[in-house]
Amino acid sequence: MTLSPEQIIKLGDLAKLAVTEQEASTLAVQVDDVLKYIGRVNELETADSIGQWKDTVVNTNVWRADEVRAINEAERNELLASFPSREDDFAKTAPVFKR
Amino acid sequence: MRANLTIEEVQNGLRAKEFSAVELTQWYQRQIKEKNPHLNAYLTLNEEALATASLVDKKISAGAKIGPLSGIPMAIKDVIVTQGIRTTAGSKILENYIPPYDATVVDKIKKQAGIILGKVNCDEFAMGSSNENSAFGPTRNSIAPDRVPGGSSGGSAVAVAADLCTYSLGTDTGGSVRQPAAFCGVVGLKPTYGRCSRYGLIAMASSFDQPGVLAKTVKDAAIVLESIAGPDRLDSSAKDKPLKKWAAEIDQDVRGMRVALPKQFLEEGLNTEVEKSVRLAAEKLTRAGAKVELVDWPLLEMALAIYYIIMPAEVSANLARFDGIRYGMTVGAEDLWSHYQQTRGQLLGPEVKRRILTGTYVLSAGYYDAYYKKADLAKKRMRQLFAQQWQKYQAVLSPTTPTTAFKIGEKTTDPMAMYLSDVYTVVANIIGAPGISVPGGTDSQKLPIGWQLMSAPWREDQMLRLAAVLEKE
Repeated sequence: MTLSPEQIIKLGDLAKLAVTEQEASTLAVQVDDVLKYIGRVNELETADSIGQWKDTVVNTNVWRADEVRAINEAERNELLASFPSREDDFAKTAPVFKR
Repeated sequence: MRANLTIEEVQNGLRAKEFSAVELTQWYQRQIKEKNPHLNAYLTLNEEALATASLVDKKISAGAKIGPLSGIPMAIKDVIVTQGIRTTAGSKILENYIPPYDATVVDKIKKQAGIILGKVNCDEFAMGSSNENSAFGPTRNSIAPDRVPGGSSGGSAVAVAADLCTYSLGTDTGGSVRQPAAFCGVVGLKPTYGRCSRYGLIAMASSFDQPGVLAKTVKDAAIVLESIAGPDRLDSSAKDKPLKKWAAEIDQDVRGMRVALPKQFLEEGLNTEVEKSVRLAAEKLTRAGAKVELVDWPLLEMALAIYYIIMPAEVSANLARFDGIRYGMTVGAEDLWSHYQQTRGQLLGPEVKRRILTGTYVLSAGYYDAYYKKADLAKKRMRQLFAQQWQKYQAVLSPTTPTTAFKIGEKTTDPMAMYLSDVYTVVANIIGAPGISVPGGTDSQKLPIGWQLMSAPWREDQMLRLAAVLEKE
């Protein structure tokens, strides 16, 4: 298996990450190297994984109820000031659809 | 002012009025002004540092009781958020980001009136092993300026090694506290996963991330841990486990303790000088009455592969929040989709991109079973192996890194070669255990070597006692 620059661009698309063609050819070689190395996990015999190994660690969610906390004017302004682009008290974004 | 003061020495000096907190802070600020232009450890200085110092001096004059970290000048890795102080995560995308809140570990230090000197350099979003991935230029190793300080907490390690602070905070996802500590000749402590709150750490791989301490001595690291550990209602992974007097109990006897030295940690890729040095560490522990045994745990050969699957998978999810809409820098575009693509594509660096893409790949429908699922099973198996071994051994000894500090630029074009410098440190993150790197002398080029110890989760006490033995002359 060898990763192609086109696959890198496709992955970039999935990750909302613009990748130039030049970047893609370097990244294809580098990510491929990494995939070859990490592929060694497949040498591990995990055929018994359904039974013995499946649930060795059971993850549980730790929930708490949502709490609504009022913020003061200063905190509010601080958050609004972090918007890179702003119109009144709204964060301004590019349009969702192309014009 | 004498150079290289430890936390204990600063505490004593302040209480005995040998120097004031203001004098001490000014001394460090002069050191930073003189050495930082060359080392590039600090990215942002805290303008409130002297005000905090004078508050501590007033308290001392009034005879009020002060905390163990009160008046101790320190530095914070730039992936840990600080209210009102720019926090860049070493990335262009957060170049002008001023957080509206403090991380819990920062809050704890502020409550004691610890003196924050400033924010220190790191690999972008804590991704890297050399500090060369910072968008603000690499930090230089203060012992050998043509070499890297390690990463990703490279600035934190150099700030301690070059005496630009008394101690510093870093974060450790796969070795990012211990590896730079080893390269710079200082102590680096990664606590048990869940020992300290991750609230306010800019997330890289949430199931591995943990704040850590870089310090001049093992005891100093223990002192800081006592102050920053504990549960947090803002991070449900931070557990309510008993906190011990780690610093006070550090000199307790280690006789009878059993330490495993895995043969897989002494194999291919390990520099011969580093290997010899680890054998000296084993002798040192033996002389102190511990029993060091060579063990054969083949599963360890999978550790780095497990890490470099699970970590990028979590990175690809965590980094999705940097969209340039609510905070941070942005790149103008005609529509929203290209706004996301261009903002992230132009403002994130090459290593961050590699990891997002690798993570996207291993989680994609066609490859999930071959990579992520396998790695998750292997992780569980690794945890089970160690759960058994901790019944028998109180600690695991190894080198911290396979080599000493490499040259700036040596590995930047070969990511896989760079990743291999984490081969011994990632294990602690995979199993959620505490780990520490202790200075173990130098190689023939006078570059520092690090010795690593790991213990069972929540058993920092045993690990720190053994580490204190390794530290002794």
